[in-house]
Amino acid sequence: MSAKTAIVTPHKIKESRDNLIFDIFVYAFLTVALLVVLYPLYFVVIASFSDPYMVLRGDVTWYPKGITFGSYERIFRNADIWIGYWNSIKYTVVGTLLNVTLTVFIAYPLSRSYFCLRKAITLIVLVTMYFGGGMIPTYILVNKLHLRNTMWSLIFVGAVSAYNVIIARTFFQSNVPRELEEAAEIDGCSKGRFFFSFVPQLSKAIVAVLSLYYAVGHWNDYMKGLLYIDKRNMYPLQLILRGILMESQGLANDFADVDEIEAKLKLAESMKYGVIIVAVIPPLLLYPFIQKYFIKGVMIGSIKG
Amino acid sequence: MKKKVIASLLAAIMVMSVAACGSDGNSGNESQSGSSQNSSAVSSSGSESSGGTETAEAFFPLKDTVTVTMAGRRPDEEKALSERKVFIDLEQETNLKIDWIDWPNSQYTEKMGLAFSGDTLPDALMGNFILTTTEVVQRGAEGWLMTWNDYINEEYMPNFYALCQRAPGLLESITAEDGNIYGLPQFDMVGLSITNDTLVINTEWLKKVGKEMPTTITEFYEVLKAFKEYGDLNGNGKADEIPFTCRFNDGNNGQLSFMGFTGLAYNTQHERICYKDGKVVYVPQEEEYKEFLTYMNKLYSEGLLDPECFTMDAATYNAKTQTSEPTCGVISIWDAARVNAPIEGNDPNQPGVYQYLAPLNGENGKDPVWVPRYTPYNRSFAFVVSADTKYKEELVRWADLFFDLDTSIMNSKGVVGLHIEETGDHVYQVIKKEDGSNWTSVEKSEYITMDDGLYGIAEGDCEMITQDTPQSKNAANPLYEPYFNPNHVYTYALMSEEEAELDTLLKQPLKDYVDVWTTRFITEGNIDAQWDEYVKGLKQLRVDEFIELYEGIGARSSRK
Repeated sequence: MSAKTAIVTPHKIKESRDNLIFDIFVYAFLTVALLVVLYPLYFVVIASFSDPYMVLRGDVTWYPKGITFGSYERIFRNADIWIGYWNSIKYTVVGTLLNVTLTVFIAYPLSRSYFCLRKAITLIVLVTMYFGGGMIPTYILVNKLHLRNTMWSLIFVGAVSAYNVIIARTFFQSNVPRELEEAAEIDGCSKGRFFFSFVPQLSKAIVAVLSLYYAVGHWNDYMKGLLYIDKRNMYPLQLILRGILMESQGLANDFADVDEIEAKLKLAESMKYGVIIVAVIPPLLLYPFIQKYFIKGVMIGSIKG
Repeated sequence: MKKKVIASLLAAIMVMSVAACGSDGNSGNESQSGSSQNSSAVSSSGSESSGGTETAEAFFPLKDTVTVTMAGRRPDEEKALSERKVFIDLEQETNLKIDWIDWPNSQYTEKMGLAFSGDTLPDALMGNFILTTTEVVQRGAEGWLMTWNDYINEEYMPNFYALCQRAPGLLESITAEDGNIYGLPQFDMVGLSITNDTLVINTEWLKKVGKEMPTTITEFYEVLKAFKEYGDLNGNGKADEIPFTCRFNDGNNGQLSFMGFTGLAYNTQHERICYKDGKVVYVPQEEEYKEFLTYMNKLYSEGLLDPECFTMDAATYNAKTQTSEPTCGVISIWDAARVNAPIEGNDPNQPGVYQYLAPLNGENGKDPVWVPRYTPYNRSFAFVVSADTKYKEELVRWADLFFDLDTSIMNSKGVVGLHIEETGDHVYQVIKKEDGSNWTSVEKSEYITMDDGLYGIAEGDCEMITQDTPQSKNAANPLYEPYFNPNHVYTYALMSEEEAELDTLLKQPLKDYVDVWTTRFITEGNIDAQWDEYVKGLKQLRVDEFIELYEGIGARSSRK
């Protein structure tokens, strides 16, 4: 007995020590990784409450110094930011609705093995992933279609992303199997009805994922706004933010009033971090609701076990 | 239907332009019907109205509303041009409607490029640096821009014409090498500062280390060394003292004038050229530059020069120099007021802790020089008109309205009675806001164009009264002005298209090369050993061709 215990016990301890070392290593590594990722975010938060000049001098590292809410005060008073905010919300909601609808509409047929043009259309979609018309031709096209300075230029251009079509197609292939469709057909369900009644029930996860991808894309997009929008009251938020952040670089003007430049620099510095926080809140609010689909995503389907 | 409207509109315009041209040669042989109605409205204020010539007052308001598209450049946080009172008012007065396209600075480069390459150029572009001189010349030669040559006269542009009379050389400075005028400048010679950067020295520290104001670079070095050796000069227990700081290549806070102790300093921030003995020289390959590098290397290697001086951005520099606890001994800065202001107990009407330091004498026996401030001559254009517009005359006359002196003063300095007050005949004084602070450009942008529009004020047109204190910029003028050497100062003329191309090709590589080597020389030394190698590299980058190019351009300058 005692011999047995003597053999077993060290063995046990040895094993758990190995595990412990491994665990310690894993946790240490993850903690470092977490800090590396988290610290910049944390810094933005504390910097937004600190005296901008103290931030610039590098005095602020772990906790806010010279606490001031001036930054937020200026942001909330800045009409441009709120116009941009509202525009971005509008573009994101309308754009995402259209994006997701179109993507599902093209991805579902492509996932059906009996669809005769499947290969040809897939190829056409794939080509757009690698070759585009280029910025200037697209701009000329948008201009000729009279979409410039309308919200549709931000929504129609790139309304379907080939990458997302492929994700959705793969999802439909594995989660809406042909067998299920056949079972429904036996009960007298048409293909159209199957698409409108069954598929939505089965594809919540992919719709959530697509919505997030597209919504974040719309929210963060400034390039399209930069190219196609010339009216101040139509700028998306990102353009306004870029303006505020770029103001701190000053203007290459040899004659500009130095006092003015400096006042602007200070203002921009003081708003910079607060503005980042204000802009990041909506996507941040979206994540918790959608994240569960990312985790569950692959497990969801009609065929269990 | 739409076509009919446009056609009748065009007809109306033609009739009006004929009426407005009067005896002008271009349209003299056409019918003059319709001019009789307007000519009674000729006003004599401001400009001479001779014979049947109509002035702008009679031209506007237009009988039929004309709508033009116009792009407006503006700093991001200022009001868009479409929202400014001056344009809203003008639209009512002239009946010329503007469909504004907004080009804030942060989006400007892309939008301007797209407008040209996507062929969506608006009727006109307005704003500070709307096109650089190089762009104007190139776009003009490519046929994008309307030429103003036929319009700059008493008939079409009485106000601008009058300005050109008051400011000799202005017209020449905006004429391209091919003889064409492609755009209008904004021009204000009143209330200018005469220096860019100034040197200020911490007099409290000077007292603590028991030194006098340095007058030569040897004394300057000793003062910096004393600052360094004293240790905790500001008494905060931290080793945060910096003997000497500047921001390299920053025109207002940099090393450009400081370099003048060698007897040579360039006023062309981007080209780095100036005149020496009547010839254009590329300063970074001159002996004087070597001398400057050697001195800076000495400061750097002994820890007297701020090691961040090559890398700081403007905001960091401001944060570093404008502190409640002084941390710098000598600062290159716009004026002393801004570095003194945050210091506790500072009285703006006293000289303050930081005081201006006169130019230092070098060791080579040459007279030191200081760089005078750039003048608005040859500055970039603020208004250009597309060659394809249907409304040339309307736009020409519209633009001329801005050059009326009172309008110019309003747009450049502020609204009389709100931002400025007139204390004598064309003598103005800045008014502060009710709470005692100054009007900021963002607040002013609700009313006027400021730098985003056109104005023209020649020397002597008006006077701005400023309240100078020992700390303000103008207080430094007596110290530095005697050291301005006009024989060194380079003045530009507009380039030809070929010159502009060559300039684009040569300038930036030279600049980058010099920056890299300057930093290396100052931080690592070895200047004597590597100087020849460095100059050889400059030759390979075609520095001689570059000098020749600017020799040619400078020879055409109207202000030689």
